[in-house]
Amino acid sequence: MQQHASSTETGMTRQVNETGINLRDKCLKPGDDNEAAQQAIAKAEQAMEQLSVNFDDWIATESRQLSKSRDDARAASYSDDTLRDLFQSAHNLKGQATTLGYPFADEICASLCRLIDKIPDKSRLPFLLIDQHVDAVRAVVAERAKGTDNPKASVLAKRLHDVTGDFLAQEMARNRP
Amino acid sequence: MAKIAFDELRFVVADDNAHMRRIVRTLLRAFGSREIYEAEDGASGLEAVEAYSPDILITDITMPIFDGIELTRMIRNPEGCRHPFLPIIVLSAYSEKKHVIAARDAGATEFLCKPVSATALYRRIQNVISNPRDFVRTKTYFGPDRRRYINSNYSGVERRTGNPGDNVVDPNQVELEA
Repeated sequence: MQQHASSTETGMTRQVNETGINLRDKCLKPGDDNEAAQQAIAKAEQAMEQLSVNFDDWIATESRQLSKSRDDARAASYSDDTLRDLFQSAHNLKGQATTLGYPFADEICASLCRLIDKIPDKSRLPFLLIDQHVDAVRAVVAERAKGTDNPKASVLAKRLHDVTGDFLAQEMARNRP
Repeated sequence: MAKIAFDELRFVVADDNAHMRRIVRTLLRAFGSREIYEAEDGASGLEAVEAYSPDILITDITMPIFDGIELTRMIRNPEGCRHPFLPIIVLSAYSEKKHVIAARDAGATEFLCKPVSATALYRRIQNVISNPRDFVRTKTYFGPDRRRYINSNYSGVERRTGNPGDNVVDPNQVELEA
C-alpha cells in the first residue's frame, strides 16, 4: 500500500514517512553505537586487506581497458561514441584506482576526464596529450607505482595535470566571445 | 545509544563495474549484511529494487541503459515504482558540485564520492538509518527534504508556504492507494 500526499498549486507539502520504511525500528538494537561502528569498520578494513591480493590484477585489467578504449577512439577518429567510451574507461579507473592502491593513476585519469569533459570544441582535442595520459597510467600500473611516495609517478601526474590545465585555459580563452 | 544490526538489512548495489561491486559487497558483508543483490546497469537496478524490496540502494551514476540519476528519479516516482521512499546512496567518482546537485534533485538520500572507504560508507548508512529526513513533494520534486539545516543568515523570501507545522501531512488524512 502506498501513501500519497497531494501537493498544492502554490506551495509544497511536507510528507511524513509513513510507508513502513522505518529502519530505526528494523535494525537499531541496544548497544554502544561508537564501539559497534569501530568494530564494523575495522572488520571491513580487514576484509579489504584480504581482498587486496586481487587489486594488482584488477588495475591491470582496467588499464588495458583504458588503452583499448583509446585505440578504438583513435581508429574511429575520436567519434562521439568512442570518445564517450574513452571517458567512461578513464572515469571507471578514476573511481577505483585509489581504493586499489594507485592514487597516481586516479590523478592521471581525473586529468584525462577533465580534458575530455571540459574542452569547448571536441574537434580540437589534443590526441598526443590523450596518449600521454593513457601511457602514463600504463606506466604507473606496470611499474607498480603504488601509494603516494613514488617520485616519478608524482612528477608525471603533476605535469599532466598542469599541461592539461594550461591547455584548457587557452581553449576557453579562444572560445570566449 | 544503539547499534546497527546489519544482518537485518537488505541492499541492492548497482554499478556497471564488477570490481567496484565486489568492493562494496565486501564492505557490506564485513559490516554484517547477508542480503546483498547486485545490478550492472540502471534497468537491472530498477528490476532488483522491485524484485527484492531492499532497505537501501547504493548506486553508481554512470551506468548503461539508464544512469543512477535516472534510476533515482524512477524510484522516486510513486507511479513507476513500489518503493518511492527507498533510501538511496549515490556512490560516484563524480565529485563536482553539479553532479551532487543533480543527484540531490533527483531525490538521492546521500552522496558518497569514490574512492570509497569503510568509514565513509558506514557513516552514510548510519546517517540514513539514524537520521531519516521527511519526504517533500512539490510540483517538480519528490524526495527527502533537501534542506538539511536552517540557515540563520538567509534573508530572502520564505518559499515554502504556511507555517512549518501546517506543512506536515497528517498521516490520517493522506490518500491511500492500493
